[in-house]
Amino acid sequence: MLKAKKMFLVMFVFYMILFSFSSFTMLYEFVIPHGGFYVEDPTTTSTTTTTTPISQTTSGSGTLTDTITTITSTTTTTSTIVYPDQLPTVLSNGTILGTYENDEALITIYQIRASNSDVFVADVVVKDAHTILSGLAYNTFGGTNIVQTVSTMATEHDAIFAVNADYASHYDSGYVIRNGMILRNSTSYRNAIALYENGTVSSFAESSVSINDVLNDGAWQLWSFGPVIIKDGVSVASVNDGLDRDAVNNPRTAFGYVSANHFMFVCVDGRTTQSHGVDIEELSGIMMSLNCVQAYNFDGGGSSTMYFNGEIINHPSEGSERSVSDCVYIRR
Amino acid sequence: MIVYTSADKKALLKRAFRYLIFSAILLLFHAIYSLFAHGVDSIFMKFAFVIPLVLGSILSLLLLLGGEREIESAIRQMSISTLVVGSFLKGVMEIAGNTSSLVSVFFITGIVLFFGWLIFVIIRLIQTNA
Repeated sequence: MLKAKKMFLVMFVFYMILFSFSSFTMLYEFVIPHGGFYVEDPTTTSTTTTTTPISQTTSGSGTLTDTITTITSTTTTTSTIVYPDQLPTVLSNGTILGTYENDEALITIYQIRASNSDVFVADVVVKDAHTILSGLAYNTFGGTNIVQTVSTMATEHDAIFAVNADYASHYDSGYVIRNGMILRNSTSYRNAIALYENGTVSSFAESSVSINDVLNDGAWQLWSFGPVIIKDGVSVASVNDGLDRDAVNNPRTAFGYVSANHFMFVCVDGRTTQSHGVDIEELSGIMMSLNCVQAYNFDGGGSSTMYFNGEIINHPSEGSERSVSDCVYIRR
Repeated sequence: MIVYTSADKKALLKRAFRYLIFSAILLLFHAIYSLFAHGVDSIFMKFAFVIPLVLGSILSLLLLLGGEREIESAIRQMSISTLVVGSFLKGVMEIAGNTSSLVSVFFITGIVLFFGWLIFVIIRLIQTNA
């Protein structure tokens, strides 16, 4: 009898510990904000008087410290931006939801219909690739559950346009360059895409390059989520790439490159009767129709959010914005 | 000397049946979870039912040959529970696209407990045959 009582007590204590540790694990991974380090915003000023070359200063040498100061650039220009390429037919037939133009950027927001889904396209032409900025939730990278909505980050950064990006803090590994600074230099199995200071874009397997080489080549932003969906004008997306999420219709966000300093940011609605969402091949088809020669899949699902001029343009699938770790934005 | 009785055999058959039910519940849980996972699946969650099926049910039937003491059954149960919880949590993380170093604690603990059970059984068999 005493032995049975002892056994019962041992089992009870064991299961209490198991339950407690399981609960802690779930809270730690999904709820409790922790980790990460502070990253200062880059400061960019622009005037309309004279034209001067960009000067850049960096502190640190790409080494991670508790606080990282990013590149400071000063850009002055007097030119207006000319749309450099032929407007894709699909956009000619689309609905213009809004436009914005200043000395640095020309942004046109379209709504089109594709694959039984509402698709929101930000056709972005910039004078300088440094106009394409990365924002981090609470200016913190690398932590867990340190998230904000895209609209909050956009407001805090005085953005005219913002879209969710690759949720880089979600993973423990993978190259990350934001606003010209290396935030993580551990390689992953994924393919990354880099936006260079000269306004061009290229994608590559992280395992095939050193992040320092990528930075030395002039990378301004580097995203690590994927997959790559268009490479050098050819669709490389496949529903049989081994990732369940790529084969299923979902809301999606994508980044596309048309020509130097000409980009397409796309949000596809999904998981509703109005919009079914798209798989990765359908997304590639949309990006091809927008004349993208390079394109990359960003974080999708409930994260897909496009912000323009104070409003959320698309319809996030969860009914409201999901908090994410980072975004791409253009300042007013 | 340890005596292996028909009561012990009955207990083992009961355990085998309980673990079978547990496996079925895990299968059902995975089926329901999949409905909300937007097409994303995890091998760890999909095959979590194999742990109580093999280490629980099938092993209990095999133990009909040699028996199992209460303490050994308790350790085996703790091992199975820990491995199942670890597998489930790993599955939840994978479906959410997360990674977690904490989940490995469950697998390490479960495997250590299983080897602990194995040591108890071996010692008992040696004592029985001595």
